[in-house]
Amino acid sequence: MDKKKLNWFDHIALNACWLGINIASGVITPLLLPYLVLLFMPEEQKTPTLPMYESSA
Amino acid sequence: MLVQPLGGMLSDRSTSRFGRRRPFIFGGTLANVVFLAIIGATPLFIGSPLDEVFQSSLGISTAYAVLLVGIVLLQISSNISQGALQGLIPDLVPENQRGRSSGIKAVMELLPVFLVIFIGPLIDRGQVGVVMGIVAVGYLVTMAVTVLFARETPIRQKPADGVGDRFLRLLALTGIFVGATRLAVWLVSISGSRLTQMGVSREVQILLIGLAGLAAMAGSILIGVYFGASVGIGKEARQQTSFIWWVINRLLFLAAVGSIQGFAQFYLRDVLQLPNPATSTTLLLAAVAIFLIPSAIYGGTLADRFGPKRLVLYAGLIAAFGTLILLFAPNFPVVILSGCIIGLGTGTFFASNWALGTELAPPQEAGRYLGISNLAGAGAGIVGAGIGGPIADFFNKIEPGLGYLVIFTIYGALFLFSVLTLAKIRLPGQRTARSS
Repeated sequence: MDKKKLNWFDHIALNACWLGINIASGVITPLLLPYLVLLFMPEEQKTPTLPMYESSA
Repeated sequence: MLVQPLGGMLSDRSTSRFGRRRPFIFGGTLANVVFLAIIGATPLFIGSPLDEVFQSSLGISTAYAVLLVGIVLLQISSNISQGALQGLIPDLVPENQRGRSSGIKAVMELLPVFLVIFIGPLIDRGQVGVVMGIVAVGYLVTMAVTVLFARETPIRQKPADGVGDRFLRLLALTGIFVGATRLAVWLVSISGSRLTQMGVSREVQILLIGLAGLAAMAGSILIGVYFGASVGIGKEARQQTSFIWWVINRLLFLAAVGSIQGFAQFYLRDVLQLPNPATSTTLLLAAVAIFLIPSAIYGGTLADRFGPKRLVLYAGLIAAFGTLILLFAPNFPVVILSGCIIGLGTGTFFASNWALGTELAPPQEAGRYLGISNLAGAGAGIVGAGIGGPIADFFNKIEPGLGYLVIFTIYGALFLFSVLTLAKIRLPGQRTARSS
């Protein structure tokens, strides 16, 4: 391994991809999935408690 | 739990001229964007002619089935790229700078907490396409920065041993961990109902179920990770006990902090009886984040100077102290104070714990080993909320809000247990205080 001192940009570039991955996980799981699941649910299965779940997810 | 170490393992063995990590990061991210497009297109399947087929065979609509397939594929591709990505710090960053690099990694993981605040209104307006576009651009731009600027040296020779046996070991690891945690949940629920039938006093119930919950969480972590990781690593596990104890340390801490965050809103509503618990939770999380991000950066720098193990120890103690304040908080300002202290400990932990892991993972197999550490990431919710949730429910039926006090006490103990596990971790070679 190259033992030279890395600068801040090197550290940021090396880890930048984590930002994209975590933006995705922060959006998809808590926000997008509950919205889509609710959208695809048949009308007769929607209960008054579901919006409560949606707002807390 | 399975795909991420698999992705790491495959990248460890790659002899590509572009380096052993970058092809997986690049390919995984492109696949992410394709699967994201599938998820984004799911509303187009509402009212599809295939609905009757899916409803009669699976009981779900076509749109839901497509969403399910898209999510599973996205999880696979994303975890393959993450498995390879985890190998970059141990591959490319000298040991005495890994704290700083791990601090930056922690910031990259925490920053989206702020960014997603702006996404919620777009989803409320039904602008799924715009949201998908933002996520896809995020994937591609950040991947491009990492792939273009990470200067990897390719390995020339593929490791001699095969992948079949290692894959089966990873499969066994997943089975053992999930089995141990499910057994713990069952034991807690059965002991709770038995004690209720026996008619023991409230105080004895709190003591016994609380201790049973603590034993179930700590025990399932210990047994699940120790045996799971031992099987997953294989015959060299005997030489890697420090790495296994590091995963246990990580899971104990993450289970505690993740669950406190998850149950915070219910605690504010049922224990402090605040009128606007959702708004108060947002304020609390913002206060936590203000301390979290700087402590991740400076925690990483301090880890390079004093050694990551010492910083992980301080992080556990700080978080336990913050939880103690939370338990006795009489009002919201004291809850905010406790949140700031927990945030300080958590930021320090994120940076220093990862730096510690990169030192403990064998350099030739950093991808596979750090992939195995995803036992902690994926297992935190299973252990913390999976076991803590039923315990909270049990006590909340006795007295509203009591359950959260009991499980927060357990989470405080998990922070302290995480500190104790450090005694079992030995760093490779002699470490001295280092200057940055």
